[in-house]
Amino acid sequence: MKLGKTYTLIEIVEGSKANNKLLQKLLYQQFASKMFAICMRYAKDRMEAEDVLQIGFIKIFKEINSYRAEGNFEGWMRKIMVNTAIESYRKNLRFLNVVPIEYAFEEPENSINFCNLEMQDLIKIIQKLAEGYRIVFNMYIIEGYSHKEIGATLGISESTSKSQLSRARAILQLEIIKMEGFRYAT
Amino acid sequence: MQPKINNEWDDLFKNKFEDAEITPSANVWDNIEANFPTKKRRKVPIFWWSAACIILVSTTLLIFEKKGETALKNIKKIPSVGYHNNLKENLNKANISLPLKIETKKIQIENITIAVSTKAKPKTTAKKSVAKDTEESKNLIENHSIDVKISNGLTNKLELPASDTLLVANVLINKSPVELNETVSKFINKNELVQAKIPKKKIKNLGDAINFLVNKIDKREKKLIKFDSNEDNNSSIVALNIGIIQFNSKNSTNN
Repeated sequence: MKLGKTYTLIEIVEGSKANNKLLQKLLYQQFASKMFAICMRYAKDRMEAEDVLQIGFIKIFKEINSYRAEGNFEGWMRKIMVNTAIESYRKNLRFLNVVPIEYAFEEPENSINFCNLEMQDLIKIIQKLAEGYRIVFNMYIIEGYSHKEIGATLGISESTSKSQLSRARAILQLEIIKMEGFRYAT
Repeated sequence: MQPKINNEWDDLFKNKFEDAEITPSANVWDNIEANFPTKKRRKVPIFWWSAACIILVSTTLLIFEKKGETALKNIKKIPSVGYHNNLKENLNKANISLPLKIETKKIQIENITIAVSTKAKPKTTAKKSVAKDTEESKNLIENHSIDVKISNGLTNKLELPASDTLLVANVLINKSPVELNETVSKFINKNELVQAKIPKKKIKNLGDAINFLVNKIDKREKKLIKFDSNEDNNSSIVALNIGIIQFNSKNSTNN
């Protein structure tokens, strides 16, 4: 950042609380890409993700006065962003796409290393998932919610959450193998 | 699928995404900025100003209405005193009805009525009888109100001190009906009598309320602002007098 003065996170947060336009912008600039990565995981495409990012940041600035300095600020922001994404999913809740079982339970051959895969590719694969699968996958694997919590949040049973996760996993693994194979082939 | 592999997978994903960063489009910030609450500082004073104005107007209206009510109650409280028939006759001849409404001093009323009714008798008798009671009644009488009804239909409610009542009484006793008419008229015209504080007009709308307030404060002939009070719901400004700016429609003088 090209700035005459560098601000600490505390200064930025306090400035944002006081409605300081410059510091609000700095706060956004500092965290936008991290928050956007979260949104991208939950949304079906970039446009939807940007909508969630926008709503999430508006919420963050609205509720920033309720943030107490003791907590981890980034964690606090993440929580708001994830909740916004879940809310947005629930708002336009569509029927969960039913994926053919035989497809879902095709087992991958063995452990696959996808460290070489680009973030963008992984995001693409996740975004291809049916919406219900994507939400459960994100909540369980990345955010670390329990199946119980996921069930309560989304209004589904614990077992539904479990089965959706395993299907999501299976699909992802297949997709990754495909992508890896494609990479090696070229 | 083995759980072990699952866990590896999960961890790989988690690690990959935990600190992931993807740059959003530049226009997202513009949209966020557009949603910020703008100029909070200005909004608050405007709100308080309007609230203060409403409170001011409503309290003045309340106070005034209460005043009006109490005035009416006071009038009702005055006991109606039966008029002596003879006095009534005499006054009717003169086209004057003079109900003397005296709260405490019935003695004096009787004296006066007797005096008037027995007009043929020597005047001294009446005078004497009045004078006789004057001393004691003077101490007791504070204010009497007299309704003077003159033939042209105008009614004036008058409140007089004891001395004035006696004066009127004496005048009534000593003069002929025609003279009486003149005397009473003069008496009223001289403005020696204090008019009762009864609101002349009811306040029907905001315009009336403002007129009332301005009348209290602005004693000039051309008021600071004057509203047309004839309209029932909507008031319109009929006169203005703010330094150089003066506006005066013909209606405004009728009030």
